[in-house]
Amino acid sequence: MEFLIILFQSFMSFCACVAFSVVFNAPKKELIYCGISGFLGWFFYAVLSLYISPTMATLISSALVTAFSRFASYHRQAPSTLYHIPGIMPMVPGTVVYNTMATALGGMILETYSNILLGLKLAGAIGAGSILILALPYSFFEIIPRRKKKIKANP
Amino acid sequence: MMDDNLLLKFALDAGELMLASGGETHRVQDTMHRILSVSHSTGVEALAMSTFLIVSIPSKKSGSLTLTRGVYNRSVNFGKICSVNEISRAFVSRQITLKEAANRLEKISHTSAYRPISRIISSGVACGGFTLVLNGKWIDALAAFLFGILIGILINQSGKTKLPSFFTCLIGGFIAGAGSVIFQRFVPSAGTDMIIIGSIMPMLPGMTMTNSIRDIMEGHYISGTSKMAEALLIAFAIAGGVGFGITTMGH
Repeated sequence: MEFLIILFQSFMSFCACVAFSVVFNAPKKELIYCGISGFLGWFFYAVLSLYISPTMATLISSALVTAFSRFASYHRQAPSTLYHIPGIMPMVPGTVVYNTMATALGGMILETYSNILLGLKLAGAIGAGSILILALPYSFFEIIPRRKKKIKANP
Repeated sequence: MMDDNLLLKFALDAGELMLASGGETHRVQDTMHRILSVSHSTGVEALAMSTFLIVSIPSKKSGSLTLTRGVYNRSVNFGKICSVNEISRAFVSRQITLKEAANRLEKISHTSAYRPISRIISSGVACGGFTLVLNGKWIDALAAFLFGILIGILINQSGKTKLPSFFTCLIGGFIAGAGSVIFQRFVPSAGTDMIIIGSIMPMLPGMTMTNSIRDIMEGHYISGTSKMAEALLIAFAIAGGVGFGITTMGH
């Protein structure tokens, strides 16, 4: 049952990330890969956070999404940012930003500080996870050879 | 023999378009450097910062040429980053001439892949989708869809009127905060927190934050830290807008 819920949420994450990419004008033929990136991002995060702490889950899943986006970048010949940003979008600590604001409004200073720290921790985890993969050389992602593309005539 | 002046201008245009579309600084610098290295002079230099670009070619014939340009209006646009990338690759591998490349660059700076209406609706879908992802109910997702459409209109308009991103996020946060409180008054079963979290999702500075970390990683410390400041400012703007919205509606 839990697994079904995670699958449903990941599918919603797919739709949301495709829509998100449309908002930011991603090319039409890359939309599906942006969606897959978002799907994987939430799927890994949700499955991992059943077993380990949310921070570690964020770190590992952001590393996995970055790896996917670099593979996709090599195969589709587009900048890896295009796939990377939708992938980490479901993990961005929006809940924490809201909780920070809510606790600040309620005058709960200690909770506000702890939420700010939690937000920085999660953002740092996303960054650290990305860096782990971004630091690898480009040739590492060329293991699976690229399909040969027809050379386009100049329009 | 290539005209150094035209080459400089092309590199600067490409860099400006990329930086204004939310590309990372190191990618912009790399692209400009590749374009300039087509020129046969040695010691070409390209420098990108978070708000300005410098390109320079030392040439024996006409003395050293240097151009600078400030880039202040920034909005995220993946399509333009991809197109510039494609054009610069094609140019560097000599598939197209400088003139053709400059023409194509001119063309993409005026086109958009989607109509405004589809971008506005997909902003709604993104907000509703993220609400469901984060364990919201269907009724919350519906509300987030509506506010997402409003925020999509706001983002669309602010791109035209060149409103600072701080104000866009402040107003967007206000829409989410005030809207969710009003919605809950009519539909008591809805939860304000899930609606707000879903609605602010597309505005959150996830891209700025990751780009800043990537820039720092590549050794662009100044651009990286200034982008991190921008990300924090946007996050505070959103939180401030939401808080203002909730308090004015008397939650």
